[in-house]
Amino acid sequence: MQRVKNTVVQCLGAIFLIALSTHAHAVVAEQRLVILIWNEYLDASLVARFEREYNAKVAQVNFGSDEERTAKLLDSNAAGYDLILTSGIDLRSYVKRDWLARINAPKIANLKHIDAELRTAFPNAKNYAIPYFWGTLGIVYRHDLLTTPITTWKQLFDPAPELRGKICMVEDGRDLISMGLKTLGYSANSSDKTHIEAVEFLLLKQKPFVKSYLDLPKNPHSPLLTGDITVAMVYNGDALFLRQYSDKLTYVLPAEGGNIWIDYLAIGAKSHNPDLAYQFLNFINEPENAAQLAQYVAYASPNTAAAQHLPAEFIDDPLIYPAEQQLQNSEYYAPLPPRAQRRRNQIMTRVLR
Amino acid sequence: MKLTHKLPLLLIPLIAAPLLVVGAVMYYQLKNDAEQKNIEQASVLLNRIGTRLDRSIDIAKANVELIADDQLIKKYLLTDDEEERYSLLQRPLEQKFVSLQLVYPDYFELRVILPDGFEDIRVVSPWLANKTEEEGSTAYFNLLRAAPENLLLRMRVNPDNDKLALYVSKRISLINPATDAFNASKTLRGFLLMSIDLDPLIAEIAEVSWAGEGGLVLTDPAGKIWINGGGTDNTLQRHKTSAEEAMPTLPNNQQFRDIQLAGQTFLHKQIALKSGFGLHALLPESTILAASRQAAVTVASVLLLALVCAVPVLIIILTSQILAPIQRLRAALANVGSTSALVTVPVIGRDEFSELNTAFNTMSVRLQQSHQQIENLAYSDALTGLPNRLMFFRSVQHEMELAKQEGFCLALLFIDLDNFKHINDTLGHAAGDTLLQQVAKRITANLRGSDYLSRSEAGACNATLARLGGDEFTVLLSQLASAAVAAQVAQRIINILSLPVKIDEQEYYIGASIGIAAYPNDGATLQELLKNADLAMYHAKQAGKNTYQCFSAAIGAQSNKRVQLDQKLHTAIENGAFELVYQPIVDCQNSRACYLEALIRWNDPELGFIPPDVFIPLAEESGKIIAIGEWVIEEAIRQLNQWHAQGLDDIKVAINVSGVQLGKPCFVDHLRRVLLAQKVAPQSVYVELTETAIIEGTAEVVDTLQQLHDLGIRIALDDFGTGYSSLSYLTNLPIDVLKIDRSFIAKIDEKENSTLLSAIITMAHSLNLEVVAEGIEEQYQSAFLKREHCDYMQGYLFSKPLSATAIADYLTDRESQGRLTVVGNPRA
Repeated sequence: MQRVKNTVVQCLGAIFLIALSTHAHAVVAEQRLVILIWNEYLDASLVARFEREYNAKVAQVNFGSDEERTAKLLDSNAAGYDLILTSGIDLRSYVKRDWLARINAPKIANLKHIDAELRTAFPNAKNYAIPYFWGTLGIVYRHDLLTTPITTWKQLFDPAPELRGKICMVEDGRDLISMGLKTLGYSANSSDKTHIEAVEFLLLKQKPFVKSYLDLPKNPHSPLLTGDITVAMVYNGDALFLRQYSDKLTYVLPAEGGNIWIDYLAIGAKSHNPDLAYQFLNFINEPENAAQLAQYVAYASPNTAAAQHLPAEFIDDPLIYPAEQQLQNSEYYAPLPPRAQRRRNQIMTRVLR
Repeated sequence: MKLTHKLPLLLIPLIAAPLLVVGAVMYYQLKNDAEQKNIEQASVLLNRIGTRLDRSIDIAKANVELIADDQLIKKYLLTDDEEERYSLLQRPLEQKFVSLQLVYPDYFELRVILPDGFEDIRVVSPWLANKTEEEGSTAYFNLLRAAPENLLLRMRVNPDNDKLALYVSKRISLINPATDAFNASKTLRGFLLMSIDLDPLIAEIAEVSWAGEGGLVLTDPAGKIWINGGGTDNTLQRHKTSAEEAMPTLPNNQQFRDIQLAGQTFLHKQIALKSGFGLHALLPESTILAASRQAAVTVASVLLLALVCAVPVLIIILTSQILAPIQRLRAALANVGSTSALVTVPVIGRDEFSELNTAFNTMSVRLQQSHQQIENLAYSDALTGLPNRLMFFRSVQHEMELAKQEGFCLALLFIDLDNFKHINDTLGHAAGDTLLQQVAKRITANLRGSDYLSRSEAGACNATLARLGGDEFTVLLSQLASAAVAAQVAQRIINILSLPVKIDEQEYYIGASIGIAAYPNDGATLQELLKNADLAMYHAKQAGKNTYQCFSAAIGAQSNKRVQLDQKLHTAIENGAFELVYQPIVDCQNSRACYLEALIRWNDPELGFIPPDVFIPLAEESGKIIAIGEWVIEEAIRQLNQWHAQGLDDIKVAINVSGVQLGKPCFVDHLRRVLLAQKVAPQSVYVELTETAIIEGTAEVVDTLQQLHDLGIRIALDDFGTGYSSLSYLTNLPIDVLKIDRSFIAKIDEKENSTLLSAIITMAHSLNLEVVAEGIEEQYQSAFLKREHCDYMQGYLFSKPLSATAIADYLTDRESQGRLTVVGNPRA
């Protein structure tokens, strides 16, 4: 409910800002940039610098899951967003839905710094988006409060009694079901009905142990820090971000393997100010800026040039830059057959109600 | 019938009848109220449920319309690309459905079915397994597709759980703005279906209190019964087919009316719901009857309770306020009759009963007073006011009991007035009565005084004076410390009775003899005590009167002897135990025996010789003196006749006669008859009688004497000088001879005596009486008497009494012998 309310507030905020920006446009020369993006996924100081340099006002509309983002885009049919952060797997649908504008590559000089492999990791990625960060999906836990170290998804999906009511899972059907599949030893992209049904059983069985399904708050009051939650499904950077508040957190990439994800930034098809969006994309990909941003969010930057501006310990952190071997069992999400997706939807409706 | 039964029998109907009337009124009121309440309840319920159902349907319809019009669902249905639809649109749409379910939990199933019948979205809570996703062939989908209206409302059984649910479905037809012209006709894109849980409604309908036979019934426009509040086993359910046929024909009653349904009578009211459904309230007759029954039970219990409470209370009040006083009075009345004690009833309050009780008490007191008077009369002597014989006996008995327990002595004083008979005879009964009253008063006063005296002297002593009758008084001395006190009391009584009594200004001396018997020594029973006191008194009297005598063993023995003698006397005459002896009386002039005094002798074979002065008084008391006297007369005259026949024809016989004999009128006749029979002349006989026989004798005695005198029989006064009779008194009597008592002769040598003797002789001669001196034993006595011209002499100097044979010899010799030799006891 809190989440719904937040969403509503954010929506209203966005609509207000949109209204304000159009209004302001007419009166003042200040430009507006509305970004649909995860919470705490932008460095405020970097944004502030951008605003100063470009005489712009950057507004964020945040979401807590891919589904929430999609719902927001559906609501307005993507109108009002200049920049849209999307996961690689959703790119195809968003493009189909005409929500994203084609990237005019020359307009982003710093595109040259971006890892080419990452730019093409998902269909349509190269034409419609530029990679923002990449990372893994794993488990963070309070090593001080658990008797057994967590090393596998199984420990999370088929939890020990001590974890009852202490688990936080992401509110994302794709992540939940895919990692459930990994737990059971299947491919994260399996569309086998029996596999899916087994995962449904697994998730419903796990549900009583789960305190909440949400994107773990990244602030000093996070329940993980207070101990209300002792273990959570989390994206690696978020875990590292929270580690700045506590040294009692351990992030693991589970033995079964996880998901390698890539977030992309795309320009909204209905953007009012695509030029400013291009400027922003270019700005954050200045190597120094990219390095600053990476350090802020604690994710691996796709900007290869940023590496020279990053400290060695950042680059050497296996949690941020996992070794090839670590990612051996991990998978990218792949598009699913529609009926398989529908089946997953039905499961999520039951699990996440 | 008793009042105890009559009153309740009268009052219970009196209480019960009005109660029954009130009960009847109450019953009708309650019954109507209950019916009205049932009807109102049913109405309210019907309206409430109807309104709710209507509102639910309205809201459901509105919600269906709202969702169907939502952009998301439109986008969803317009998105032909499955990947897009499922990966982008489906989750948000499902989320929307979930949100709706959070607000409306009874929308348990929200579905989107595509035109081909594929159930594309199904959001269900609580979870229900789906039977099929392919609805294309199901009846309901076909109905949906064929229905002319876009919004369809149906009540049907959900195949997923076989439960009744309300289905609201909306046909969604859209123009695709992306591809179609804006005025193109809409094409069917799918159906939105909402299933609404009817369990709360069914539960509410089933809750209706008069369920069972009737209830709330929900029917669709076709009359099909969808919800039957009466449960699964009521009439309607059993006759469902006929009921469903009849349902649409039921009038649209706004008020409850009687209808016939499934062969039963119901009170029916119907509400037409907006959806075309009908909500019927069917109040079965039995419910109404139950209400009446309830009312009846209530009224009956109230009545019963009232009766149960009121009747005993009333009976208690009646009993305590009316019956108990009556009972008390009745018991008191019964007591008044049976007891002599004063009976009263308590007077409580100021009601009629208290007045009655007061009246009763007054009556009781008066009755008690009369009773006391009667008792006084019964127990007291009317003349003196003293306790009478009865009362006296009672108190003696009582005191004896007491004395037995406490160890006290009792003494019975038997008082007999010495001279009462004389005063009574001479002065008349009135004087006698006065005398008795005075005596009673005097003794009472004395006893009262002596009470104090005796208390101070010899301890406590209660004295009770009573009059037994005649001149007999008794005093009971109870709680005596010693028997000696009794003697003191007796002496005092004698003393005060020695004082003269004044009657008619004349003073009389009475004197009294008192016998004392003490308990327990002198008798253990009242009779014994009284007899012994009487005996003692008799002895006192014997002892010379004006004295008291305590009872003693000797008196007892003497008394026993007297009794023995008395018995012997009975047969003595027949047995010839008596004989007569004769003592000559000689003429002073010539010392020749001219009279023979016949003296009776009694020789009993067992007791031996019994002197006359012992048995004569006994015979006088018992009346045997008459028979004995007659025998003496007959024997003496027969003997006289015999002597006359032997030639001793100048001899005469003196016969002693008792006063008792003289009092008998036949005495003279008998004597005359005997004289005649023996051919003895009356002049040959003279009778001797004592002074007391004359003085105590009645008028008859004097009469008898006169007759004897007229016959020619001479009369001698025996023992002259011992009594109180004066010579002047004797002059009035026909007396011829005076016999001077031997006591004078014995003391003849004393100067005064000899003077008196010569005076008596002189006076007797002057009265023309002959004088006989008896007890002559010495010559000087004879000489003196001869000198004083005494006429006759008698005594041992001349002869002792002799048997008849010896007398004959004596008389034969008398001519030759002037005197006889003295032999034997002078008084034998």
